[in-house]
Amino acid sequence: MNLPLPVFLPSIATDPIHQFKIFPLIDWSAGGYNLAFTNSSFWMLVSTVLVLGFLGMAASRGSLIPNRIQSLGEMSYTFISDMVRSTAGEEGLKFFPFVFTLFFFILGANIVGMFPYAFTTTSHIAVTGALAVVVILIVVGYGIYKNGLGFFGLFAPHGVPLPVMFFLVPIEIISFLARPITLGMRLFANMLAGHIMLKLLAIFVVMLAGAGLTAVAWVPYVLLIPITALEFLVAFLQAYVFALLTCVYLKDAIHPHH
Amino acid sequence: MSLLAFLAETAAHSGEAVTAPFPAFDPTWFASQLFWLAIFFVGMYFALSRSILPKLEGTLKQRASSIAADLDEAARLNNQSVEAQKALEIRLAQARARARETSDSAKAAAETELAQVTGRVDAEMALKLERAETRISKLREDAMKNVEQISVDAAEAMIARLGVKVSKADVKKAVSSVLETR
Repeated sequence: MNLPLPVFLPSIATDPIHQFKIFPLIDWSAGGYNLAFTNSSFWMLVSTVLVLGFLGMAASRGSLIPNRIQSLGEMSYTFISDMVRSTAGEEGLKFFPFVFTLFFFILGANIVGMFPYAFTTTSHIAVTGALAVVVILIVVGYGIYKNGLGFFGLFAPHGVPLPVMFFLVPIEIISFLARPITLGMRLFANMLAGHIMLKLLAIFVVMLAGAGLTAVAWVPYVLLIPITALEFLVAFLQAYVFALLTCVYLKDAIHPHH
Repeated sequence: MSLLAFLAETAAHSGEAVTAPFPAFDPTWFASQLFWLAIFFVGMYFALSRSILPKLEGTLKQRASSIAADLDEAARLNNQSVEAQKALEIRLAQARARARETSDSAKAAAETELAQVTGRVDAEMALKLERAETRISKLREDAMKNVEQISVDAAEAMIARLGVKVSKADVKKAVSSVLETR
């Protein structure tokens, strides 16, 4: 077990990258792999508990006339199920629990990461990339299970003349292969960049004030306020984009011939 | 601390960090991240798909069905009230017709009775009038006869006073002719 968080404060205060560092809280390895329970794992646990706590409270009431938290839970339910239905169709509702979990897992991690001293688990490519790969594996797996080899018709749109096919098919294949990369990278880069920006501005405030330029230090300080609000928006938006793109890709798996 | 010293320290710090990989690309923790991600994601998936989402769905469906049932019930009650209204109108119209009938027949009965009574009274009156008239005319005739007699007697007496000799028949004739001219 490492020392509690405040010990890391001095270096946290001056290094914009430090917030992304992973350190073990409980060392553990199995099968030759380092599976330590790290600060990343801890904050993932926190966001999971918060999400399940919120949704569990919302679901447990089950009253015909909802109170605020129940109303919020039901809004979340209809929001995601409407998104899945409108994007991937009725058949896509099979994946509704998966998309719902994805959305709330990412949203929980992003929002928890907005709190000072918390760790943003979604600012690591290992996490976002793994989620993206899982999505693509489900898309490919279900597409082949459902349509057989017809799934690969995704790469050859109908009504395209043969000579164009020679160009189009490779482009379609490349764009398909790019999906997991862009899907994982988009979330990772957004969270990383946002948190670095917040940190840099905060460091500017400290540096300028420390150098005696208090008047100038107000500029990044005031700027921090709207950017923090923007980052909350980004936290929601990136979770939404991830879930929405998952639905779009699932639609391709269900109906490969567009 | 001066700005320069601060920047120098920061530079020294970041120079030191260059030797370590950027945290997001540090493979040391990949296995741990993936392992705990799998644990929490799968845990969340099962908690949501087995318990929380079915509960939310159940509540939403129950609400939708209870709203639909309430709307059906409202429509049924509305139909009922419309029918009751119709029945009421029919009965009202019937009652009105019956009332009119009753009043019409009562009016007719009253009128016939009135006509009968009027007729009877008229007949009685006519009879009485006739009788009265005959009596009056008889009285008058008698009176006139008496008048003639009295006149004849008076004329005879007057003429006798005058000392003229006239037959009784001539006097009577002269009186009756004067009476007739009046």
